[in-house]
Amino acid sequence: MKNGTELLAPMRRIRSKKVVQYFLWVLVLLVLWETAARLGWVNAYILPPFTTVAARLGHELFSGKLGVQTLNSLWVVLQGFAISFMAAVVITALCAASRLVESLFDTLSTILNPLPAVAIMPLIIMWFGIDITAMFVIIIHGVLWTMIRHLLDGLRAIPAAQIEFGRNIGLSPLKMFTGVIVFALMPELLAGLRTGWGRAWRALISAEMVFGMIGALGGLGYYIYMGRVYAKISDVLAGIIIIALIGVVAESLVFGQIERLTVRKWGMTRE
Amino acid sequence: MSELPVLSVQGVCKNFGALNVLQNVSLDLKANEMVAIIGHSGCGKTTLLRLICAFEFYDQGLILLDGARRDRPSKEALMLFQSFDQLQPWRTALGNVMYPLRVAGAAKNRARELACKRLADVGLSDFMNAYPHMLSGGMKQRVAMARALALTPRVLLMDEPFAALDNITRSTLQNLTSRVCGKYGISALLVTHSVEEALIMGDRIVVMDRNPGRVKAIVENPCRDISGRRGELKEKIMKLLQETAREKEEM
Repeated sequence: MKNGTELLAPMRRIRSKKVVQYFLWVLVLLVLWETAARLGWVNAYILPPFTTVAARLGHELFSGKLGVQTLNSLWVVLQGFAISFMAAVVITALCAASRLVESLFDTLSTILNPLPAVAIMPLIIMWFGIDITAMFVIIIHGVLWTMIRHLLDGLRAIPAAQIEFGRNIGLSPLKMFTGVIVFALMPELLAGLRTGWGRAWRALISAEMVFGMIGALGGLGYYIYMGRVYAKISDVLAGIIIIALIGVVAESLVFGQIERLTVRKWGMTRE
Repeated sequence: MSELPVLSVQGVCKNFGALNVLQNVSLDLKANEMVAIIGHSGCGKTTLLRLICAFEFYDQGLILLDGARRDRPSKEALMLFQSFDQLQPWRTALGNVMYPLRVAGAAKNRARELACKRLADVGLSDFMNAYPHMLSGGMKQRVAMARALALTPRVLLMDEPFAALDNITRSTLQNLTSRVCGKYGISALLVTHSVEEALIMGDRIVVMDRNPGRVKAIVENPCRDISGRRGELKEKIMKLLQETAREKEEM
């Protein structure tokens, strides 16, 4: 008779194999990049070798302002993301309790979700001016509606028997939410977090490029933008690499871990 | 007092818009009794169960549980569903049985103790820490059964809980259900499509007519014991047959 740990062993093997493949692909792409630049397949002004960019990145990160600018961006994204997440959860709880509220937010997210954060930027600037509040509004707009979209879709996909069992044992709306719905929504919650995280960065970087410097140093978007202004291609690439790295770290250390400890373990999604 | 039926359905009518789903349905369920409801699709069997556990409201008539009208769902009239996803995938088998007990206010140790006992009743002592996705369909229904037993409802409402199972598993679970409901004195209403199942499990069998759904006849089933024993025998023989097939494969 197999117990749970034994049953999960093959999955763990598949996962470690996937990680190895992942790194191999990255390595192949980097080697290709380096070779193309070194052998002159592409103009070094268009694409300097990876090692040059990496050296520049290290230098800028530790001796320049880039480290502080990265932290600035990260801090703004985290705050905007956290506010959006909490708002999305509260709104979903209200939607779960009331059909009327659900139809309101269904309508709102249908209208506002496809609207790019960049598109509303001029409006936000006119309303709030160019400051940190406007930045948060833009990030929250980028994140909130997509999260709500995911969660509302998830709400409708919860098996009826799970909700009805909850009603049958007399759960209050609050207990129904904290004891049943939140867990049943985990797959969609994770999908919403992932999409939302990407949207938050998009919104932030666009805002930083349009707003210019906010605070003493500005953030990554401003850094990349100035790299373009001064035609420093290595800086531009260094900024992009940092954003990509933050994405990879968030996925492997946060979202991937949450997924592994929840929906994977519960068999709500497959490998 | 002992004559008072646990459940009394009196002249119940239910319409969905212009559609008359149930018309003047009356039936009683006595203590420790199991009644099977059989009828073609669309005769309102499931609707009747949903009215009894107050998931929906009836338009006319009266439904009394222990002599009292219930307007809100409660664990006293508990539904056992057909679908395998009635368990919470994020809790282990043990967690699934414990959860409603904890909700009802039981202390953790007490809930765990009771849950372990009921899981043992349905033969799942070895799978208490398994998550539902690791269990077969039949095992999931057993967990749901243990969960229902632990809550000691006055009436257990079963909506074709074995319909999606293979023959052997179904037969095993039919016998198991009869046994445990008898053991804990739980009255039960069982909706089924299968005459055989009705004969094995029902002390009485309510035959329903459709368009609109109404009671055609209530048939006493004096041979439930015999059918049950026959069912157990059948189960035994099928298991033996299965074993011989397996032995052949191994050779």
